Parts: sequence; structure tokens; C-alpha cells
Amino acid sequence: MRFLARRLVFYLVALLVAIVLNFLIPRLMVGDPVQLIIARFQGRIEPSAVDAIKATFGFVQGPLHEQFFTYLSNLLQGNFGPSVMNYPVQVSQVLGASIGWTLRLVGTATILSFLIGTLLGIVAAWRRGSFVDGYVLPFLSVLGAFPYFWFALMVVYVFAFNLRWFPMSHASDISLRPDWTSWPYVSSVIEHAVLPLMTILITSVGGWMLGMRNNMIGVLSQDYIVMAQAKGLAERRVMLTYAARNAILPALTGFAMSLGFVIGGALVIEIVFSYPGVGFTLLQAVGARDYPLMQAIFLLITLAVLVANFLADVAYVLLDPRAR
Amino acid sequence: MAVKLVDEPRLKVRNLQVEYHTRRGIVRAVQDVSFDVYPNEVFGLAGESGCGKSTIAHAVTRILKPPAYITGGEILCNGTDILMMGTETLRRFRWEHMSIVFQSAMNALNPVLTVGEQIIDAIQAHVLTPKKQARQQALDLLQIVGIDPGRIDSYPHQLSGGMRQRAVIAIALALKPELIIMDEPTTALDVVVQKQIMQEIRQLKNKFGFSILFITHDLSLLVEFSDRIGIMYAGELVEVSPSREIFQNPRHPYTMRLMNSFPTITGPRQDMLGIPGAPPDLVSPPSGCRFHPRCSVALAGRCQEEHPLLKTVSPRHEVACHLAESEAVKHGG
Ligand SMILES: Nc1ncnc2c1ncn2[C@@H]1O[C@H](COP(=O)(O)OP(=O)(O)OP(=O)(O)O)[C@@H](O)[C@H]1O
Ligand SMILES: [Mg+2]
Repeated sequence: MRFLARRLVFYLVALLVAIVLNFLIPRLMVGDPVQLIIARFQGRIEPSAVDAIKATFGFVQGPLHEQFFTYLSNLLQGNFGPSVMNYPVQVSQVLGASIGWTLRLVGTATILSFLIGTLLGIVAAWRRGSFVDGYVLPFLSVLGAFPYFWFALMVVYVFAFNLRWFPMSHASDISLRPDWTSWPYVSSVIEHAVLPLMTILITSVGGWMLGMRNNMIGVLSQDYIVMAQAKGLAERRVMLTYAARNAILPALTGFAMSLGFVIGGALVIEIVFSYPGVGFTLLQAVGARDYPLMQAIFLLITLAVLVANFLADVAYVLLDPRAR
Repeated sequence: MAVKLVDEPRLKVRNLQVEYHTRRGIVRAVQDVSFDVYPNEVFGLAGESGCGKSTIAHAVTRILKPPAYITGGEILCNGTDILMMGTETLRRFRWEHMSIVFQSAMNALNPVLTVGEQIIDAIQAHVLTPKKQARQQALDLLQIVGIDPGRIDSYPHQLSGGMRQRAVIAIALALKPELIIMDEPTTALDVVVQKQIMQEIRQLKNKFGFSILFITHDLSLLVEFSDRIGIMYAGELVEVSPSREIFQNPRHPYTMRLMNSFPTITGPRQDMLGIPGAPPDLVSPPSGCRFHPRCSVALAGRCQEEHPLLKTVSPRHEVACHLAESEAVKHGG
């Protein structure tokens, strides 16, 4: 428990540093960023928006620390100010819409990929030289070596453009009203998710598999595995509780990292499939120099990485008695 | 100390041959080795590093994995050949009749399971036992090997080296086997703990009446603890004898050198290091007697060409040496 408490303090400090940086960067920029924003919009931006943007950046009257506390209390209330490109819609609303898509698509893909890859890695190590080890592993590793935007484009070209099995872009049929209780809508969401999901899965599963296989092989040469077999334990118990339980520990950190990058990580996939997630939104925000939106996304990514790391620590403590 | 040799041996190893198939060639790690271990007996196995002691231990428990292959011989435990057993028969036989204690206790325990769970695992793999009852047995076993039963829910890293080794012994004892193979069971421990544990093992042996195949580097421990001793050189057994006799009257030049490099039983401990030359490469061992290149009394012709076999030189004392033979003749005549 002391271990977790220490980690938690560390993450809180890291978060605070990120917030301070986020607060300082606009102030360190040459010129006045708010003026820059306004200039970019040459009259197309309303004066009330300017004030709102200023306010959320904390550009209020008063000394720096007062500005910071204004900024901090805005953050805590989830108030990131209005999005410039979607004015007067709030940044929090823009993000609220896109974050769900990203979490569902990329989150599912990351977790599935880890589970499938780990399972395949266990099997490959346990049955060395078998079909899974000799053919599936090299095949998936090669797929994982492809640049995945290229892979995404190929998938779109073949399965969406040529074969027309799946839709090419967006997260759902735009003609349908979003309603999670209606089957046509839900099924259209699933249909739209298949290709991006498969792309992420296929390009990432090989990495997990290879890592787990190698960890497993290291563990399998340990005396406690030989002893477990000699004791007469069932094969499954030796494979899972004696071997895999130990082999998975080094993989947890990597898994946490990739979970943390779920929010911003599938940028390319979202762009190729015009999937309205955070990555896609970030691209648009950059194009439109929507600083409030960008800053909120960066902060969100930081937060996600920290939370994922903390979850990994919790998992570590649960799985490895030495960490307790 | 006195062991009745009229009993049927618990373990009978006959002409055992083990090879490692490596890229360099075939390593003949164990060559035509035969010995017996009798009920309630401690049979010690000693020899330089790499002479094949662990290979024998692993062959006897059939835990060798490729590139190791058993290419000949028989291993009879309680009269049945372990090498002929099917997977399920072997799975049941092992641990119920014969178990093994590994050299390094840290590596022999699964770091993510408690000591209790690892003992209970062994029990439940063989006897249908309710969890509660298995746990009670585990508590008893811990008590027996000198661990506070309150440590049953401890993880291996929470135990000291000595306690870990005791836990491994508790696991080996879980099904009260008639034979326990101990491959350097205490080398990782300091001398005091080593002594304690060996004494406890002896007490347990007398209490439960199992036999031990005991492998060690430590000559004083070997002589003190074993009833009979087998000396190995380069994959072969070169001398087998009751331990007192081999200590007082070693007959093989290799054994003599070992004993020379080891002054008194109560004196300072010494490992077997004091022999000039290096052990031979087991891919292409020397012709004739494998020890002849390092032997100071080797005969020019015979020892280089003729391979000596184990011969009885006095009651219960066997030696594989051309010179020892002739000496025996001298003594006899
Ligand atoms: N996996 C392996 N592959 C190839 N050769 C091996 C392998 N394991 C052991 N050997 C060889 O077999 C011979 C016997 O090894 P073994 O481990 O039985 O020796 P040992 O007497 O137990 O030595 P030590 O006292 O160092 O434990 C050695 O020459 C070693 O080089
Ligand atoms: Mg060894």
C-alpha cells in the first residue's frame, strides 16, 4: 500500500507540472496568443469569444499566481473555455463527444490486442515449434512491422472501396439519429468500427505475442517450472499459474503505456477512417489553430497516461507479491 | 549408520547413458553408470563440476529435456523402470515415491504463490484432498521442517534463504516418498544453516525412513552425511564404497587426490579444486581410462588403451582402475 501511495503522490506531482506548463506556455509565447487567435479569425470571431478565451486562459487582471488559480479552478470545473473553431460550443462539449468514440474504439482494440497477443504468446512458448509458434508468430510479427497507416489505407481500399463489405468512414451511419437503445444505430456503429478495430489489432497483436513468448521462454527454464511439473501438477496450472503469472509481469508496464496512449494514440487510424475521436479532433484543432481545444487535448492525454500508469501499478501490486 | 544391504534396493540404476546433442557434437555426460540406493540409505555422489552429477539426478527423476537424451540403461525405482513409464503413470509415481530438491531454493519456488499454496498444490495433484485438510497437512509439513507454521501464507521472498530451502524440502516431503534426490541442497546457504538443515534432513530420514541420493561439492559434508559414496569422473563412476572406507582408504588415484585436497573431517572445509589439469571435454573423452592424462601413476600402455571397469576390490568397495586391481591382487596374494 505504501508503494501505491508513493506512486500516487508522484503522479499528482507530474500532473501538477503538466498543468503549470500548460498555463505558462501561452504566456511564454512571443506576442499575445489571444491576439494571434483573434488575428487569425480576422473579424470572424465575436468579441464575446475573445473575452471568454482570455478568461479561460486566466488572462485576467492581477498577478501571475492569481491568474493561475483562476485557471486551475476553471480546469477543476471542466471549463476549458469555448472552442475557437466551433464557437460558441465549449471545448468540454467537443471533447465529450469525441472521447467516447476514441475510448470505445481504441480502448477496446488495445485491450483485445493485449489479451489475444498475450494468450497467443503463452501458447507459442508452451508449444515451441508448433503451428502457432512457427507460423502465426512470424506472420503477425511481419504484419506488425508494416507502417499501420499504409495498412489502414489498404484495408479501406480492399474491404470498403472494392468489396464494399464495410463502410469507408465515420463512426456511424450519419442518417441515423444517435440512440444507443435502437438496434439499427448500434449495429451501424459496430459496422463502422470493424475495419479500424481490425487494423489496430492486426498491426499490434504481433508485438504483444512476441514479447509474451520471450518472457514465457525465460520463465520456463526456471527451476520452479520443472519442479511444478515434477510435482505432478496439471499442465494448465503449470502453464498459467506457474509460468504465465510470472511472465506477464514485465509486460504490464508496456500495456499501461499503450492504455495511456489510447486517447491520443490512434491519431492516424482516426484520420484515415474519418473517425470522430480525439485524434481526429486534434488534427482539426491543429489545422484551425484552436489553442483552447489543443491544450485541453494535451492535458487529457497527460492525464490518461498518468491514470493508466497508476492502474498498471495497481495491477502489479495485485499480481506480484514482491511489489506489496 | 549400518544399513542392511540384504534389502532390495529402492533405486537401481543400470548402465545409464545420457547424451546432450549439441552443435559441437554429442556430449556423453553420463556413460554406463550403475549404482544402487538402499532403503534408509544416503548415497552420496561427488565429483568435479561438469562430471554429470546433476544429469544423473535429472535422469532419475526424468525431468531431462532436449537436448538431453537418455540413450541407454534402466532406472528401477521400487522395482519398476521409470524410463518405461507412460506420462500419466510417471506423473503419479513421481512425488509419491520419489521427489527432488533443487540446488537453488530461490529458483525452486514460484515467486507469486505462497509457500502454503505450493505445498497444497503438490498434495492435491496426487490425492483428492479437501482444501482445508490439505492446508492442515501443509501446516504439519512446515512444522516438521522447522518453519513456524504461521508462515504458511508467506511468499518466498519474505523468507530467509534457509527457510526457503526448508520450504522446498517440505514440498519434497509432501507425499512421503521413499526416495528423495537432493542436488546440492545446501550450497547456496551459509555454513551454520547448512549444518542445521543437514542434521534435520538426517532426523527426518530416520523418522520417515526414506532414502537419499545426495549430491554435493562439499567433501566433509559428503563423508559425514553419506552411508556410501560414489565418485564420478567425466561421466563415469570410478569408485563406490562405504563412506568411512573411501575416506580412510581411497583406491582410485582420482579419489586419492580428492581426499588429499581435503585434510581432516573436522578441519577447514574445502571444495574439490586441488587437482592439476582440467576435466576432459565430454564430446571426445580420452581413450582408455578417462583420468589417465591427469593421473600421476598411469601406466603408459594399459591405462591409455584399456577402459577400466568397476571391480570389487574389497567387500562393498568397487574401483575402476587398472592399478587398484593389481593392488587388490597383491593384497589377496
Ligand atoms: N543443456 C546442456 N547442453 C549441453 N551440454 C550440457 C547441458 N547441460 C549439461 N551439459 C554438459 O553435461 C555435463 C554434465 O553436466 P552436469 O550439469 O550434470 O554436471 P554436474 O556434475 O552437475 O556439475 P556441477 O557440479 O557444476 O553442478 C557437463 O559437461 C555439461 O557441459
Ligand atoms: Mg550440478
